[in-house]
Amino acid sequence: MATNGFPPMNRRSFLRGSTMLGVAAGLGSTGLLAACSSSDGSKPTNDLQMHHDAAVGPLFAPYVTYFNTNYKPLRLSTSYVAQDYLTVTNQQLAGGNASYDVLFADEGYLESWSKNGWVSSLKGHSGLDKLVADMNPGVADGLKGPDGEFYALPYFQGAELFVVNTDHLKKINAKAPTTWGEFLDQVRELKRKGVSATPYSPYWIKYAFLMWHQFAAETASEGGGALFGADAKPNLVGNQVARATLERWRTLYQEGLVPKDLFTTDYGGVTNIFGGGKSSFSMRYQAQVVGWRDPKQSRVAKAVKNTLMPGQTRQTHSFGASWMVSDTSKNSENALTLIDYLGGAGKDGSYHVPKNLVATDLGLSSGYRSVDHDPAVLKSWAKWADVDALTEQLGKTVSLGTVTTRSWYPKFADMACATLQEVVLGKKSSDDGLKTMNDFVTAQK
Amino acid sequence: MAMAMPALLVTVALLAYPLVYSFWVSLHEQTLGSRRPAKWVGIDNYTSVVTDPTFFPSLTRTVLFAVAVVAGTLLLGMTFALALNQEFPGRSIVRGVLILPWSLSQITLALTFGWIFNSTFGPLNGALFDAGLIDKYVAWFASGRVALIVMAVAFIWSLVPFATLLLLGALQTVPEDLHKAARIDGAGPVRRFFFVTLPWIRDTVLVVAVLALINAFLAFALIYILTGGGPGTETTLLSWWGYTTAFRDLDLGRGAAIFYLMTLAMVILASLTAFAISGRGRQRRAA
Repeated sequence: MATNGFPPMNRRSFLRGSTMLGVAAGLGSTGLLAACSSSDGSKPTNDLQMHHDAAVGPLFAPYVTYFNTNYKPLRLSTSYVAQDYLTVTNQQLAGGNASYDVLFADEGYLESWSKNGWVSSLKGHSGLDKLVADMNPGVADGLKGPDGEFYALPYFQGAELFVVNTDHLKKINAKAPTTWGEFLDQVRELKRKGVSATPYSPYWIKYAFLMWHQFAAETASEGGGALFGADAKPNLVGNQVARATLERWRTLYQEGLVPKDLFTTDYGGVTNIFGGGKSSFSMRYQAQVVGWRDPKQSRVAKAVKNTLMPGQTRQTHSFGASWMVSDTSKNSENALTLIDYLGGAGKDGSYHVPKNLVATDLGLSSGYRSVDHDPAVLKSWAKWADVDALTEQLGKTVSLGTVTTRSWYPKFADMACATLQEVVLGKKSSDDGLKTMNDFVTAQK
Repeated sequence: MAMAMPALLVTVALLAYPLVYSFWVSLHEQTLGSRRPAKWVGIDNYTSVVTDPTFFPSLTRTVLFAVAVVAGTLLLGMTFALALNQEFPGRSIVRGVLILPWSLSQITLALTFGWIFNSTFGPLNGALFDAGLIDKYVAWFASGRVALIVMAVAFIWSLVPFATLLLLGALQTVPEDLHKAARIDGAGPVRRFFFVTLPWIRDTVLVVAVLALINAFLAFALIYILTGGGPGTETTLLSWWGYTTAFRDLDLGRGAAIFYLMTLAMVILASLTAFAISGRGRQRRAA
C-alpha cells in the first residue's frame, strides 16, 4: 500500500505534531512544548543520569554516592519510574522525552530500541572486547542489535528458583519434592492438614511477564525442550511437557492449592503470601529469595530454603536484563563511562556494581565469569542460599535463546500471560492455549 | 467574530485538531517510534479491531459495565438527593460528608477498594468472617465477573456524590404547589415522585445519566490498579484495550481505531439514554 505521503510516526514527527498544536493553540511559539519535549539541551556535560524502576532506589543509593565520589568531576543523578517502568520508558523514548544517559531494559526491547535509534551502539567503548571475552556463554548474543553491533552491557542474569518453607514441610514430615507428582501430593497434604490454605504461591501475574517465565521454568524442569527453535520457530503445539505443565496448573487452581486471585495480585502481594508464611512453596529469582531470607522483609526468613526444581531434568529458566545508552545523551563519552561503571568493569577494573550490587547484594549472576566465580561472591551467597543447591541449579539453566531479542517478544510475552491465565481459569483448553501462543509467533513477520 | 477568535482558536486546537488527527491516525498503520513511514490502510484498522477475538467480549463488558454504573449512580444519587431534600438535624453536615468520595482521585479510589477487597488482609473479608457470614476469606478478584462488579461499585461510589448534588439542586426547583395539588388529588409519595418530581427534573436526570455513561466508558485507573485487564482478559474493557494497544504496544493506528469505535458505542448508548429519558417524557407531555 502507498504511504500517502504521511510522515513516519517517529519522535521527530511526534514533536512536530506537538509544535503544530502549540502554534494552533496560540501559544505564540514552539517554546513551551519544545521545552517540555527537549531532553537536556542545557545540561552541563558532566551531569549524568541513570534511569530505572523506582523500587531499586534504596539499593542503588550507595552506588550513586560511590560514583560521585570516585568519578569526579562527573555527577550522577537518578531518574526513577514508580510503576510500569517499561511502558513508561517506551513512551518517553518514543516521545523524545528521555533526559537520561543510561537506562536498563528487560529482554525483548533491545531490537526495537536500537532499530528506532533510541539507544546508541557501544562502538566507542574502548574496553568492550575485554568485557565480551569475560561474559558467560550466550550472554553476548543477547546484547547485540540487528546490525550486529553491541548496544548493551549485562545488568543481571536471573534464574527461577524453587523455594520451600521448611517449617511447613516438617509438619508433614516431608522433604522438598523432587518430582512434580510428589509436589502435587505434598500441596494436597499441606492443605488437608491445615498447614497452609494455599500451599503454592507462584507468580502467575502479567507484571514483567512473570507468568510466562514461570511457565518456561516448569516446562524446562520436566524436560520440555527448547520452546523456540531456530529463527524463533515455536515448539508449543504438540509439546507434551508444556501441555502437562498447564494441566497441572489447572489442577492446582481448581483444587484451591494456589490463591484464587493470584492473577490480579500485584508483585508485592504475591511476594508477601510466601514471605508472610501463608504458602509453603514459591518460585522466583535470586534477588527475591534474598528478600525472603531477610528477617526485616519476611516473617519466615529462617524457614526459607532454595532447592532444585522438581521435575525430570531439574532444570530452570534463566533470563536477563541489560544496560543501554540513551540516544538523547548529550555526552556520549561520559555515558560510556557510566554504562561501564553500571554494567562493566569500571575504570579501576573492579566490576564494582556487578560484583557488589548485582552478585553480592542481589545474589544474581552478573553475566561475567570473573565476577560469578569470585570466591568473595560465592561466600556471600551463603548468607541467603543453600549454596550447593544454588550452584547446582545455576548449572542447570536454560534460556529462551535469541527469541527474546525480537521486537515482538514483549507483546508476545504479554499475550502469553493472558492466555496462560485463561487456560488455568478453564476458559481455554491447554491445547487451545498453546495453539494461540504458537499462532501468534508464527504470524510475526 | 474577531472577539471570538481566541476562544475559537483554542477550541480548534484542543478539540478539533486532536479529533481530526486521531481519526487520520486510525486510518494508517502507524507504530510510534518506528522509522517506517506510516502507511494508508483505510478502514483496515477498524476491520482488524472488529474481527479481533478481544473486541466483542470487551464491547459487551464495557456496555454492561456502563449500564450498571448509570443505573447504580442514578438510583443511589436519587435516593440520597431525596433524603437530603428533607429537613432533618445535621443535614448540612451530611451534605458535606457526602461530597468526600467525589474529591478522591481515581487512583486513590482504586487503591482504597483494592485494599478493602484484598483476599488476604482486606477489612471486608475480616468483617464478614467475624460476623459469621463467610467461613473462609473470599478472593473477590479471582473471577472477572465479580471483579467487574467490584469495579462498578467503586465507580458508582465515586460518582454518586456529584449525581446527588445535581439531583438535589434540581429537586429544590420543584414547585411545592405541584405536590400540594397532587396530594389533594390523592396521590401518594410514589405516584407524586413518578408523576410530579421526575418529569420536572428529567433534564437533570439525563445530564447525570450521560455523564455517568461517559465516565464509565472512560474507566481506566480502576483497571490499571486493580486488575490489569485480568484475570486473563476478563476485565478488559475497550478503554484498557485501547490503552495497551496504543501506549504499550505503541500501535497508534489500531489504538485510535479502538477508541473511535468506543466513542461510537458511547454515542449510541448516550442517544438511547437520551431518548429513553427525554423522548418518552416529551411523548407523555404531548399526550
